[in-house]
Amino acid sequence: MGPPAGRAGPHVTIAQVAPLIEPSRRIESTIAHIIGLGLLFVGIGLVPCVVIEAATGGNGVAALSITAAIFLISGGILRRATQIGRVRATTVFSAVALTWIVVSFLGALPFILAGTMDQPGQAFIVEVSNAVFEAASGFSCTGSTVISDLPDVGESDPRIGYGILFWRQLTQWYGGMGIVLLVLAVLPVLGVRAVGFMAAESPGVSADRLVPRMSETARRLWLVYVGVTAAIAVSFLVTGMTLYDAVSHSLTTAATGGFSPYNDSVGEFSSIPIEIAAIMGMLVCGANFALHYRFIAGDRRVHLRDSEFRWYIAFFGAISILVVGALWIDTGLSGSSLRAGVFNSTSLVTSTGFGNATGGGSPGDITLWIPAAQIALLVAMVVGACTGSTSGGIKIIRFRVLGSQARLAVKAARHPRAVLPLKMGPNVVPERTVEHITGFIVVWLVLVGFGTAFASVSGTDIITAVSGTISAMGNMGPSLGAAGPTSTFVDGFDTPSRLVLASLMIVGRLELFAVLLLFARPFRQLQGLNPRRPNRH
Amino acid sequence: MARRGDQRRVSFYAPPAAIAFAAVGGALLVSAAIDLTDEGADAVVLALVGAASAAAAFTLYTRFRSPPRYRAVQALTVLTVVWITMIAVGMLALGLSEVFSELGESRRWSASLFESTSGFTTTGMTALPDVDAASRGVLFFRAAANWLGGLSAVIAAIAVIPFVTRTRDIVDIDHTNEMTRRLAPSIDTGIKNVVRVYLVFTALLVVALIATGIGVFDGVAYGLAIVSTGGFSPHTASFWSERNAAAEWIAILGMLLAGANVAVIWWILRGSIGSLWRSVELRVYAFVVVGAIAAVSIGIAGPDDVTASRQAVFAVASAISTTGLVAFDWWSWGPGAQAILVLLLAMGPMSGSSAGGFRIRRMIVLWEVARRELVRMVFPRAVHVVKMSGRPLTDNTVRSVAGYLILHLGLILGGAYAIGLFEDGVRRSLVAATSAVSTSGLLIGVRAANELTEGTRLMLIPLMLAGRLAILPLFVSIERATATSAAWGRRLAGRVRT
Repeated sequence: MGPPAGRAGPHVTIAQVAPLIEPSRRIESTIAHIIGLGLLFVGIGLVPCVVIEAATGGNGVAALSITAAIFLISGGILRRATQIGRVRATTVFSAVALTWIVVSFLGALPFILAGTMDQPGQAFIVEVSNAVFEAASGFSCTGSTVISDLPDVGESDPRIGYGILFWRQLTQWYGGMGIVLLVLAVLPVLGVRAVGFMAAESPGVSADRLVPRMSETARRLWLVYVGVTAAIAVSFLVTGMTLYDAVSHSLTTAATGGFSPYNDSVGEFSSIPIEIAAIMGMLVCGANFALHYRFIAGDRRVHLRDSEFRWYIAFFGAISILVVGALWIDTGLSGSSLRAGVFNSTSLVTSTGFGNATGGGSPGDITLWIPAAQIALLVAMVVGACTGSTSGGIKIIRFRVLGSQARLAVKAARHPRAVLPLKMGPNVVPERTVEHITGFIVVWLVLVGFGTAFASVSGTDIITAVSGTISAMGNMGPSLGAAGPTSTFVDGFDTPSRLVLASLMIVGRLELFAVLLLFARPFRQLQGLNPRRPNRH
Repeated sequence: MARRGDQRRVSFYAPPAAIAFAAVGGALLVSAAIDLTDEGADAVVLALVGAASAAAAFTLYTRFRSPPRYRAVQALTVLTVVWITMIAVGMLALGLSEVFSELGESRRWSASLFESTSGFTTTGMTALPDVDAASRGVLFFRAAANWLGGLSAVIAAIAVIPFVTRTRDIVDIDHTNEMTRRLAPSIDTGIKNVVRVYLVFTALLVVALIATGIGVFDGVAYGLAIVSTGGFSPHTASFWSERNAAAEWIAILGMLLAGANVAVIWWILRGSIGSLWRSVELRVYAFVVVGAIAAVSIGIAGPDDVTASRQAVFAVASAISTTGLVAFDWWSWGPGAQAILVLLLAMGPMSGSSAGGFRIRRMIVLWEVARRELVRMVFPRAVHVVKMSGRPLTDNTVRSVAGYLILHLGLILGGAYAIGLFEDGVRRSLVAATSAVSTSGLLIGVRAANELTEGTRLMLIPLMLAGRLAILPLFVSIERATATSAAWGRRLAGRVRT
């Protein structure tokens, strides 16, 4: 990005870099412009995948190269043919939602072209839908998979080469901090609405600017993210992974995504140091990255001062104790149940979805645990971790606000005439925040109900259906029942249900409203809520 | 209540407890009389406990009088006291009777506590090993427990809670409220009217059931259990044993009506049906019922169409009204039908009924809040008022419903965790907890609560009570109890120091 010169106004920068089309003839579309830039960034990530695939002699070189070309060319065209236009509230949500949808569909191409999902006797349409599921699960950082036969350490499979697997890990890494946030880092021209884009994409109730300029904020958050990823990779290397394993696992740990190139996930290594490194990494990435930035910037006590972070740690502790306690009652206290309990609690509190099961029936197979432990995990899946982290779920802060609200409701019943403001610390929480959070949780639960009903009508048993839907909405990964850590979503859900889950993953990753508003527009116009200013996008 | 006894001491809790003792005592005496029409094995026990309960009522009545008015916290605590009194007497009667004698001393008492709680909370899960073998007196007492629990719940919901918590005017959001206010213009008139409606409704239903030919005793027992959305059945196989299409249809109608606000029944009995449709909550209730019937019928897709659809209708009515009667093998249906039924029983029917669950009114409020959020995302500065039946909802309503949602969910998940320590299967634990909190009694995977483990049953007891007390009174009572004990602790500590 060169400095603006010549004409005044924000479009000049892009015009200088892209002289192919006259600036005056460019289409004014913020949405298309952001999608284009998003595609370019993701396309760049495909290049190392091609290199890895070629270096390890995989069959997917062509598939990955074609996809990279599609990403880069379509991204380039969109970027050069369009310019930033007016930015309204609707623009923000549409841009974010459409970017994610487009990227998820195109991101499925390597799996389709390389035949990763190819199974004997399987219809092509099922293969495509599986590829889309895998890509949506990737970008949304969910980590649910439909691939059941990943190669073990040291093995190679012609259908699923190292480059393809690395792409799978990379999708989560992009989704973790957010593609649009990456775009914001290079778009200094969005003005006051810029923070809206960040708010629409990043998890939680608030989006803090670290510095006054949005693009600078985005750049710094991504830098922290890259730094944390590198640190996790180093810790994996130190604890005994190979370079490839360390990098690929660090990408999905930082994103709290949970994809692993192996069937047994982290359990493949059967190593306590690696699991401890993974636990630490997941916990760090389940916390607010803005806090990490301030910590790096020199404020060493920033985490302790943050009440959500304290509640996050308390919640993690509570879930671990509930899970380990239940396992203790079930099988007696042993090292393996403690290890399995703490690892899987971390994995689901942070919505990562790594498993440490080493096959069905091993201590880490959560679907065989005593029901109480599984229900505690289900609670963890619903609640999730911190605002501004890469994790999913409803988020601690929302439950804190509504929990205080519940206490107030009890108090209000005792003192019917009292005026009881909702306080968190010294601050009064505005009415509107409470209502926003209520609305969010209600829509979340309604979607869970919808997904559960859909999947169970198609024949999935109730627990698999409800936990699979929560897992998708909260971007967790494994479910209870038939789609647990040692099985895949093909075992638990039929193809239409998997597509519903894939869309719920994107809806959940963008925290509902961005995607829902796409569908709400015709409704709004019907209701006469949006009569005067027709949308130009 | 007392107006003349000047010598009697004022007590907040003794007079309502006296009424509870009297009601249960009366029910026990009637049960004893009915037991004599059969073998009379439990007649003596029932009569003795009934007489003792009546004596307790009399003693309390002669010593205590109620204060002129109650504060909110006292009134809500009274509700807890009333239920605990009824449950305690019921437990005593059942424990001394022959029904649990096979179980041995300790399990006998835990089972009778479960059965009594399940009865008075209108849940209707049974711990009886063999219902058909129980004596008539006990069977009638179970139905009467359902009925008394349901009546108390309706009185609490219509004539007590809205007045003492001053939510009567605040929650003026729907036409149902309009009807409820006419039914209960004051606490006293409200209680009288509710009792009257309840008695007429029961009588009509009992007569209709007997007319279908299921027998006088069964007709009465089912009538009491259906009106109160309780769901205790005098047969092991629940309603299944009837195999009588007419009786099933009457039961369906009864359950659906019992799930409606008692004011709706009042207006129907008075013949003014035309204005009912103005109630949004009633419309949504009807819509949900019809939709669920369609969905469940598709879900079963049985070969025998007529029977299948009647079964679907029965299951939907039983689930949404949180009655819990079973008329067929619905746990063998596909997961889709089961999931819908579980969602229905978690939701529950209209407010102001004796049923449990989250209730449709709260769902509507939450739905409107969620819709407004979508609008606000697009127009952040718009002022948008949440309305129900054209009237704005107050912030208080929205906030208390939001708080309630969290308490409700927390109770279900916490209960499921506790049950999951004893029970086999996540689904069983979750369904049992949901069913108990909704005071429904429907279970999946097991036919009756006697197939659950004893630990599970003990865990279900507080859940049923919490669900019955609409959660809020229970939490208020707990808060009050802890506050009181903390005050006692402080006082003790003070004494020790000085």
